[in-house]
Amino acid sequence: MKSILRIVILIDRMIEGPGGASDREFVFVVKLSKFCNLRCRYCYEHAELHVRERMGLATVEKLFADIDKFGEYLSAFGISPTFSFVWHGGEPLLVPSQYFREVTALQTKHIRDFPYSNSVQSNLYGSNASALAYIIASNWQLGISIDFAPGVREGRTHRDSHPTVIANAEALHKSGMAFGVVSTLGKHNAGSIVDAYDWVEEFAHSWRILPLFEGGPETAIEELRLPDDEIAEIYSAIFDRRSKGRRHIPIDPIDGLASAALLKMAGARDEPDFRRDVLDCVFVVNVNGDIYTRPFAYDARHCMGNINVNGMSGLIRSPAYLECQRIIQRGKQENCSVCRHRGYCNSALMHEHWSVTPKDGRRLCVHPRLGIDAIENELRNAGVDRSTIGAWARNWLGAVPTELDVAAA
Amino acid sequence: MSETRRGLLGASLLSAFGLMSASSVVRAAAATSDDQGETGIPIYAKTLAGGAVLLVPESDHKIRAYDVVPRDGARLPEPPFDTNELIRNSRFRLVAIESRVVRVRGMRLHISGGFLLNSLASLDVTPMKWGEIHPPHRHPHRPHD
Repeated sequence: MKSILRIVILIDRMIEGPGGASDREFVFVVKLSKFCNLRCRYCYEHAELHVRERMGLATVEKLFADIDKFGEYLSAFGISPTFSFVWHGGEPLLVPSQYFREVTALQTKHIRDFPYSNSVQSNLYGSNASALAYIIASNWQLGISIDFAPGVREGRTHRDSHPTVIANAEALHKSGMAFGVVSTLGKHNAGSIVDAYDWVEEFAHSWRILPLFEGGPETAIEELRLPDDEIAEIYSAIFDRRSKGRRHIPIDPIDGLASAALLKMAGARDEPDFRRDVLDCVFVVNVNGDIYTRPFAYDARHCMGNINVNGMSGLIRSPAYLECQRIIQRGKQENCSVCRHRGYCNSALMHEHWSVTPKDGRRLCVHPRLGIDAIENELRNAGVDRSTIGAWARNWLGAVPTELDVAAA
Repeated sequence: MSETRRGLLGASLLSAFGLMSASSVVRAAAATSDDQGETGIPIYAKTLAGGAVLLVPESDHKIRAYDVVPRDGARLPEPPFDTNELIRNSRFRLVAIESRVVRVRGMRLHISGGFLLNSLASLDVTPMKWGEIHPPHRHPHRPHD
């Protein structure tokens, strides 16, 4: 009973207020299969990349069969949910196209009341051509993993994947397919990733840069992980590079860090309510149907349950889910409540596995803080002040057109 | 040189503004030069519904929200203009908004009790999203469209 009351309170706090329903995307990262044609040294799935077992369509159907009910449950709290399915692996595009056809048929059969979208995260290295053709034809989103450095993302025979992936991505671009790029940031590409902006702006529509995180083979992680201050320096250099670029590319997490720096310089402080955002809405579904919130993926102590046994509308009320939220909340109390960027940073980074530095059993937010500082310095060195940011924000709102309209066009 | 550099930086921050909550953008927009105090300037914004709102910062960091209603056949003003003038101009009436959601440039301004609600994180953009892809444009499948 206490658990139910608590989840009601949590959901209630997600709602912006009396003004109306809040749109909210709920993301399912679905592990189709761990099988992969690459053996990236840092991969958190490294131990299972040879396993060919695939998520059964019966499990996929169980997931979809409860989505409308889950949506109704959320709607009762004033949330207008949309659902996003990220088909993940291993390498999902090694799966035959027929599998994706059946996924589509099951979605159409079961998800009738709420909008949803699909995306695939691929290494684009020797993928199944018919599967790729199907997801393109079905207007699914595509993300491609590219690190812009040799020697770390290798095939099973130690052949470097980088030249092939770049060639495949460029061919895909030429065919008219838009895609985002995801890069894992470590010592292997610290010297090349800033220059990679030029490639990204020419061929991709967005970029996500994830500092290397734990979960993969320990020796590789130890060897490749960058110190926090170097990560911040790289963010700053990419921020600078983009400002000189020909085309604007959204970059995660740099845009979030820049947003905090801008608000800080403008003095636009809000008193953060760390309880507001405690409801995690990104879930990882393992091949066997076990489901986790994103920051606690594969941690058996925090498994919410199994999708074959319970639907999401039940799992979101589970004690395991609530415990995950309590841990996140504690992390925010430890990090955000004493942070110099409190009130400017939205604290969402504490929900991200790659943004925390583990130390002595604690989860510390270090490189995001340094990244905000670095971007603030970049802006101040360029003579940007409070009034400049005010003008930019008014331009963004369409309140006062300025020369920025020309620059942005 | 510095002017050009600032212009380039401003253009490169479009996606950073897109990640802010509506209330954060308005707070930033109210910012003027450091020597003009903390209150900031009123923000005039046209809404997607076709009207216009005036958001007036007060000394306690609250932002009061008004509908801008033209009198006697006057038309809504086109920026740029001195937004303080709008408060004094008799051709326009400012009607306090009690409770409503106003859409400005795709963002939702939540107004309650006459004031813009504080929200550091924009729920509309789901800041906790992890999905390894971060596409700016999605094409959701809507079953009954």
